[in-house]
Amino acid sequence: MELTDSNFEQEVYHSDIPVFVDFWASWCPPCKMMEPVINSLEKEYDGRVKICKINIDKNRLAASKFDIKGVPLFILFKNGEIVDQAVAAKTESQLKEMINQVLP
Amino acid sequence: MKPCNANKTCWNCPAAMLKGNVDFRACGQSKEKKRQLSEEKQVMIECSRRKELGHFEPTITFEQCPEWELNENYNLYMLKNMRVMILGLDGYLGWALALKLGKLGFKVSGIDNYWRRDCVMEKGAHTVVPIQRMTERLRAAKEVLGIDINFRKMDILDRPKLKEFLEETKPEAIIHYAECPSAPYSMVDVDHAVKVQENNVLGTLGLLWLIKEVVPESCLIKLGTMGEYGAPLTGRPIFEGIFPANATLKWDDREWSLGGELTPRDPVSFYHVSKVQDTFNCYEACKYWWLRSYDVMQGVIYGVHTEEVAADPRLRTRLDMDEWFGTVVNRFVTQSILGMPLTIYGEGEQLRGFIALDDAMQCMVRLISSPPEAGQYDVVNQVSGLIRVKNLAETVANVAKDFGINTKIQRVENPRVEADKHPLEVISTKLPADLGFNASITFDAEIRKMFELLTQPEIKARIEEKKHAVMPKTRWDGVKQESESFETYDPGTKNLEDGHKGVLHTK
Amino acid sequence: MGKTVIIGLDGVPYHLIDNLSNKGVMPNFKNLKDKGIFKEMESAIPEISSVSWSSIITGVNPAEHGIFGFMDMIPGTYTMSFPNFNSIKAPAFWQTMDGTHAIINVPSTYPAKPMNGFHVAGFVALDLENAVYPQKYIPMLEELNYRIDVDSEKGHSSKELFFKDLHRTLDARQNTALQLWDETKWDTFMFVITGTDRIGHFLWDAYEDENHEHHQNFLDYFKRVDEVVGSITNKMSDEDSLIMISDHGMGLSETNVIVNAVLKNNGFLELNDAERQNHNHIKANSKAFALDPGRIYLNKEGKYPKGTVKKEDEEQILKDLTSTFENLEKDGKKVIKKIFRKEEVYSGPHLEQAPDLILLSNKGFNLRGNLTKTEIFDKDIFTGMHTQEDAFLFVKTPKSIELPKNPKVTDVFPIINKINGDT
Repeated sequence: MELTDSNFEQEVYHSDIPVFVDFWASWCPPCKMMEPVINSLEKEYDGRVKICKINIDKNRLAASKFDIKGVPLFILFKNGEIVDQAVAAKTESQLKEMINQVLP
Repeated sequence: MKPCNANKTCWNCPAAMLKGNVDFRACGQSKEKKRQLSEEKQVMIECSRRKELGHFEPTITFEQCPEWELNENYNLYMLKNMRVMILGLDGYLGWALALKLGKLGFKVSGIDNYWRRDCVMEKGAHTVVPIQRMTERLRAAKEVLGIDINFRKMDILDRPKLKEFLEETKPEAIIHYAECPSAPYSMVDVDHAVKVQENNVLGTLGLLWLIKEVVPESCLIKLGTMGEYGAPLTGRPIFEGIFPANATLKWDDREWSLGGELTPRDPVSFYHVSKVQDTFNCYEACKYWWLRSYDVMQGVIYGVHTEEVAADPRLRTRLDMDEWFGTVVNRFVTQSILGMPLTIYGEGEQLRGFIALDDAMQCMVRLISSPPEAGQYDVVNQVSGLIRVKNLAETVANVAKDFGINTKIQRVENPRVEADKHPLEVISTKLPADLGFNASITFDAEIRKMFELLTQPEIKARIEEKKHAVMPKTRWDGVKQESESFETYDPGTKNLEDGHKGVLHTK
Repeated sequence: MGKTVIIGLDGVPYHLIDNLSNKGVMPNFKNLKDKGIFKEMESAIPEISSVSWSSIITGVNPAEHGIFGFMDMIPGTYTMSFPNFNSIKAPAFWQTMDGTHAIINVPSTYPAKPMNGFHVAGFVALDLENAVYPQKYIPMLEELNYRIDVDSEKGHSSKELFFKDLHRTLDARQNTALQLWDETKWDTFMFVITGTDRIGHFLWDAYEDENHEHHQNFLDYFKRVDEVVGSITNKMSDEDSLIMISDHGMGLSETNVIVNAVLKNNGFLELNDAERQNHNHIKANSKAFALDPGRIYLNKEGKYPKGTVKKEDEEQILKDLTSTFENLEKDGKKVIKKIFRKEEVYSGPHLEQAPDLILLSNKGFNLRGNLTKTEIFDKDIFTGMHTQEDAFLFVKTPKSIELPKNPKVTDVFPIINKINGDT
């Protein structure tokens, strides 16, 4: 799902299930290439982990809360806390490995 | 169906003045946060076309914005009176595009230094389709199609003059056709190689600096070529310039995603090298200066027909058949008319992507109307079909029959250094899936149109006048010698089913 | 020929300048008062700076100049925009009047445009570069430490720093004005002080309450304003004409009134759920929404993407809205003083763009255009609010001209015209 400044707080910090967020920008080729992978993950984890993306240029308020030094940036949240994060393009299996940390 | 660019927003539009309102970043790394205005500040822009709106968030869609109007034929929103500049407006593609855009209501300006005309003359050849001098062309465009084209004779390397022209016209899109497109020409000798790279690479580099200074919101649409990629013998897919995230590198028991990295290049002539250089210069410029650009990896272009160039003999675009500037389909048709067996190089197993003239023009219109966001360097593979050269020869010979011409095929020594037999798997999804491109012309249909035009007595005479320029003499190894002919055969006598079949992914 | 000097004091009501001049806080103005005509003047509707100054400099009402508020909506969308000098649809007097003009700090005139003379725009200005015409004056402004606006952040954090900033800004503005007075040729000189509006918003209670810790600081600021006025008027000759104006008045703000909350509570407005709602969250079944301060727009079919109000239903909804706001009370006091239909107060080619209803509040009730709050009444740190009926006008001229009995802000341009000899 697409996150914005409007819904970031609610969707990430008040979620019952873990949340995976992809911070991206349109001028960043690796970010753009992550799109199909993120879409695939969304289907895979439907109902178990919330898979989200947020454009950091269009949502500066939400993005400014994180010390973003490089994109794409992936952050995994559980119960409002950061469990893990990673920078740079990843394969689908690498991201799955990261996400599975928060599943029983 | 919703037009493909209906949901694009001010972020994509050249009229949005983003500069100064957004951070400039590079390489996926963000700048150290500057202690300035409060983080709360949303991005605000001014619209250069609708100044009266004051400042606002860049969230208006093309569908909502009155400056973007729906063109029913293309099912595409187009910017009203969009200012476009074509560099190389006198050329094969430049002229055809100028007329097409002008007819659609775009405000066309452009430059050319007539280098193409000079190069072809250098070969002792000429365009087989007669074309007018520029003054006459412009007059005819106005008279027949009602188009005003703002043309200046100019060299792309003349930066002061080009800067002046850019400042005057403030184009919202720049189509860069001002490069020497000939592989053999770049292989003639050191002077030719240097000239090609100087014009192509330094011309583009200078252009990028000028764009940054004068019209940074403008989209640069430049021709790359499928030849940049080469044809890897492994048969790995040819992605659209950039690796997807699931393309991985495995080594030393470890694995990395190649997502976002530029795909390898394996150019096949010094001309092709110049295009690869262009790619890197463009990519860097977008990174450093938040420019936006499409690198159009065009397949082998062929054909004579668009609605506009066919409207009047004075509006025709050039067609070259010589060994330097003729592209293979164009050469085969003229060879057939000459009664000469079609020259396939080596076994003719080379697999290439092709695109017909009008389809290429359709792609350009779509690209111009869907600019990427600022800072984005994007690549599209512009092909409508893959075919092997020897199969292509058979298709041409087949169509020729309907014009009473019996055509043979000959295998000649390949003057180039390139893989003959090779697999080819091409990904070309952006144009059809994201930009609404519908390849509307088949090989058969366009080749037929070509025969119709080129068998006309006046044109046929022009072809025959320059038949000495047809056979390949320019070899990659530098030896100046006409390629030897190995074998001549009748169409339909060779096995066309064996060997590699190209694979084209359009979804 | 005498020259014309116009001094604007943003947000200064008639009674304040009258009072302080009588009390000896503003002696220069006291001196001037007897030599000219001093009246109350009605501000624009709505009574905010961007609308009012636009009306002052063009001499026409919002349906002619196109500025209806600090924020407006882009036609065909719910996207908010901030109109600026490019948005104004009638010419400012300095664009059409003969002569050379020096225009300093008129709000809502950014970006500055070519004209005959010199212009530095007032707030809201994004940068100095585009706020100045001609740009050759930018180095001079930088050297004088010119600021376009007071740093309002300080008003929120530290009143001490706020006062420092007010004075620094005023000093730089005075120095700029005096230098330009001497160094440029001009026939009309317009100079606006905007710190007066800022101090009014943050510290009106300090003015009204003599025991407030900043009461003296407040008076000292106006003393300084008077000094600045004097430094300019002392350079005038008897042949010159002086006009002093404010764009709106100021008064004590006791309660904020969230107009959209009233609409929500009475079934006129509904928003989709979201953490940070904006106008794109307006539900299609909404009948009306409000923009700052008390502008109400019907969610008309065809006008807005999710507009559903049909033409034949407009009249009834307007009646219902009028009745709702007429009945709005707090602690037995009526909140709304007047409710205008757009045709009553506007006329011109841009009437369609105008709000359908405009509310004017009673004393103490500060109308706000906030979209997301659900409580109708609240308070914040601002103690001053704009007032519509008591801006001031002062004219001192050797020419014999007649002033309107009940002047409005749109009368200023004609007055300048009369003084300059044009009819």
